[in-house]
Amino acid sequence: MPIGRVTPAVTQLRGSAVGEWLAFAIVMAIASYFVAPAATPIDRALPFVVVLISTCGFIAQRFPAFFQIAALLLFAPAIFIADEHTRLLAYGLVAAAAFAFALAIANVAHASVALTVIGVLLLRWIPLSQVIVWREVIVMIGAVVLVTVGGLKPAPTLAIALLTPIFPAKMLLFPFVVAILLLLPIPRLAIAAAFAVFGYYARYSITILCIVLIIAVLWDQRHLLNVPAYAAAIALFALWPWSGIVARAFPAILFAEPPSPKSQPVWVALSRGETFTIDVPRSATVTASGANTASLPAGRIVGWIDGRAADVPDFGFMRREHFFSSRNRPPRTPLADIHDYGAASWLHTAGRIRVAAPANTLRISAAPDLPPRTKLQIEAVEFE
Amino acid sequence: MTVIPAFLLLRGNALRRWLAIEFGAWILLGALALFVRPFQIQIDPYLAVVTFGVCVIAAFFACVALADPLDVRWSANRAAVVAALFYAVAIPLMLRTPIDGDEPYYLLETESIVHDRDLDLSNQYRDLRHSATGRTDLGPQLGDPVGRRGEQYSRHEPFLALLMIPGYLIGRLPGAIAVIALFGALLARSTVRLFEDEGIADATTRAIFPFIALGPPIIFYAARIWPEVPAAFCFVEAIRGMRQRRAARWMPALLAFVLLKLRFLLVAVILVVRAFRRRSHAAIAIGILAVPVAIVAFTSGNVHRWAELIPGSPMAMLRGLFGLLLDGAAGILFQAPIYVFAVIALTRWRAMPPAFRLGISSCALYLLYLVPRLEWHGGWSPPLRYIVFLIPILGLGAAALWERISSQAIVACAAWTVALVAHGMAYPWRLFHIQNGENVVSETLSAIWHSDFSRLFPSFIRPNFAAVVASIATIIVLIISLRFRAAWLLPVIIAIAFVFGRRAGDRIEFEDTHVIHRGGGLYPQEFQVQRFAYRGGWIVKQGDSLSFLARAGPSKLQYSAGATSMIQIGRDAYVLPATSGYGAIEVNIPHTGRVELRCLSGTANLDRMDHE
Repeated sequence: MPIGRVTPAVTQLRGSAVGEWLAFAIVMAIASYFVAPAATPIDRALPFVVVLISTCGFIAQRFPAFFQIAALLLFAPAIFIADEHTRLLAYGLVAAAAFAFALAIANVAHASVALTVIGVLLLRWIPLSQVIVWREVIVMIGAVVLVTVGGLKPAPTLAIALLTPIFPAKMLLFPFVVAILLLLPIPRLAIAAAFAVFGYYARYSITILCIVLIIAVLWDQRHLLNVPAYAAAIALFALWPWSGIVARAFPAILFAEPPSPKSQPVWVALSRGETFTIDVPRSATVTASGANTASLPAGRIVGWIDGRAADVPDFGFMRREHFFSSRNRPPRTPLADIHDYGAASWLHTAGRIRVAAPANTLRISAAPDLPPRTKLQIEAVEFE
Repeated sequence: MTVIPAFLLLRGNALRRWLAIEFGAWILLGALALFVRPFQIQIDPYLAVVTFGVCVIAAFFACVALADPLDVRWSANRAAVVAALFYAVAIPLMLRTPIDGDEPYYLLETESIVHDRDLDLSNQYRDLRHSATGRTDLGPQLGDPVGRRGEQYSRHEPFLALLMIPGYLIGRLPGAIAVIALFGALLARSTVRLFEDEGIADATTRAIFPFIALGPPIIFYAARIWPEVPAAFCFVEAIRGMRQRRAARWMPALLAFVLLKLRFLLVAVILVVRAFRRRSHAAIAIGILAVPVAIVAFTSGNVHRWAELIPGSPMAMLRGLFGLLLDGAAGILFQAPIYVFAVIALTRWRAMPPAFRLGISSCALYLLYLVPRLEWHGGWSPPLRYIVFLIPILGLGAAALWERISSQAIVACAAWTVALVAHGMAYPWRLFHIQNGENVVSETLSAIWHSDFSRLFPSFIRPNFAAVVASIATIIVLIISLRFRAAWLLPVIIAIAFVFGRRAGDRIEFEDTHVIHRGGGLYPQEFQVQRFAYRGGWIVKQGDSLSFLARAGPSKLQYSAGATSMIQIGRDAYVLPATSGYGAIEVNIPHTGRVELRCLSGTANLDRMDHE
């Protein structure tokens, strides 16, 4: 088949094309099962991803060779890249490129729903072992409703679906709320402005829902921002191996710093009023977090480090089970410590607090008014 | 990056769409760069940027190929200018490391002509610090002719050195390379013209053009100092001239072709014979051939002998022929896969364009003498050196088949070509690979998985079982014109290869990458001239050890040792008696899996171990 032409087999013989794509997907899935390392749930989900890309190819109806080779290209990171994060990002880039290309060339009227479903599967259904099926099915239905009833494009729909919390269960209605808002005879700009004001005063986990809602309602009015918007969307989509991070830790993750090799582990947890001292030669950077502090309001001081207020959040408030109900916000300079994979991934929200020129001894104390069972955790100290 | 080429080749909607795509691509790159630190991505930033650039260029040419013909401004001249722009970018990338192989010697010749008005390089070797080569470790090459008064000449023909003079005077080393790049651009123009002359559709030419002009091997030779690209230009012009019966075009082209490298005389002979129409033509032809032979013989000394006129044995011919096609390090299949279709085009000889038939038939004698040579793979040079001049003709064959090639195969070739170009541009020194039977891909896999992946890649430099299998498969595919779906076959092949590649093999070559070396050294030394003529090995001395995957049971260990030495494998110790040349002993591998070989005393060169 010459490059650049619509496959006759696909355009004229859809039945035959289904069989061909199905056989291709099966062959690829079996091959990828043997090729993929077993190191992470993303690696183990490679056959699933391959099937999704094959489905993209079937739906796009054009340039089937591109999708087939893109599926094959997923083997390259599995075989050649030993570093885990680099390998996962490479998977992410290949899948994002295939998905974006499918969106670009497909007949939008027919393909939007199918591609949205594929996108949601990629963003929310990996790792498969951690999927709570009934909740995810509701999110999926919400995404389909957004595309079909709300008339939203797949890109903002996927953003809504990605950020929809599944804990508590009532938040599963978020996509449906957005769909209703889109149908209301109110100017989109007014809806956006209202949610901007509301989001400004709301807690962090609600604010990000407001932001994605604003993006969704204003998506069709981006005009000059068309190219940057899609480029940013593709970049974020490429992070599907850590979609939970994109959903809950973005943009805080961009300011995160990897642990320093000079960092010394401390692992001390201080209850209210407790004090801990450590000898330091010069300035130091303390990595600290809270324990059981998710319900404390953002900015709450949980302790003092050499006179500096430590307003660190709970170390695990970005886990999907805790995120929406938490009142914390991410620290200014979080530690780049990513846990888990896919939709279940979360950022260990320890803050890095730099203490300049302490007097030989670093005195760390937990706030005396901390609620019971809450603690200030000193995870590590980095001497400069 | 492709803004100027976009304005040169596109207009209307296609131009607007491409500019938007390029803008988006840069934003995407910026966004991805932001992820590197927090996500602790371990990637060479230089490789990432070069790969991004190559991908953008590939996408640009995909746009050019697929755009509405009304939105494309396509002509040979525009294609040449675009190629020149990309070659200009390639030059600084290639100059990341000093020039290598024969390159510095051509430049020394240029310097000698410019500064001394002679070809004696003695003073150049004495004063390398002032040379633009950037190499202070140069000495005469093996077999370089020496004059009666001790003059030290280079074995290389001086015509390329002469051509580089203007560039050298303007910009020293980059200027000299720019001359080659200029020939590259001229080659791009001539290639497009040739395709037009032979009736290849514009759409096909647009689609295959980036594979030829910006794909391997042309891209690597267009930004380095080798005579191959100027020779390719001369060859294409000679073919065009003959097809158009314009002696004023083919005669000077053929003259320059032979002056660039005397070995091209073997091509020129047949071309001239094909041009015979009258006796006067014959006389002119003899004159044309005699002049460059005399010039080259006079200027490059006695480096060639009459004995070279006898081709090698049939086995050597088969080895070189299939090596050029299938070898993992130096074959078309792995180093420039698009030209595999030109090989398939050979089986449809009568349906091929006349220029293809003329070009290929004129190379018959050349190939007959090339393939049995030990150095059929090009020696210390980027891959496919000896057939670079033939690439536009092979491209013509592929273009003639283009409509019948499956899009899967084309996209697979495109993806592999992008990877080859990105790798070669980011790490130009890796274009030069020691001839040890491995290749970059197999070495990378072997290093990651500590298992012998090199045995899965056909090697004709150090012939292996995969080479036999690949040769037989190629013959079958070509004879019965077997058609298969690349996207279906490749995953199965890759999966099977990956599973078996991680298992212990029957043969352990001790110098290979998969062997974990704790002490010892490579034999022969890494940059040994004509390394392919040696049996490689790993020299161990007391205390050194090697670790590798091996199969349980009796094996034969081949080695050489000047004095008796002793090794230990598992719990057993083995005495290696002194040998003259190579010897072998029977050893027993206690279990399948990782095995430790330790040298207990003495020194031995361990060649390989074969499971029996």
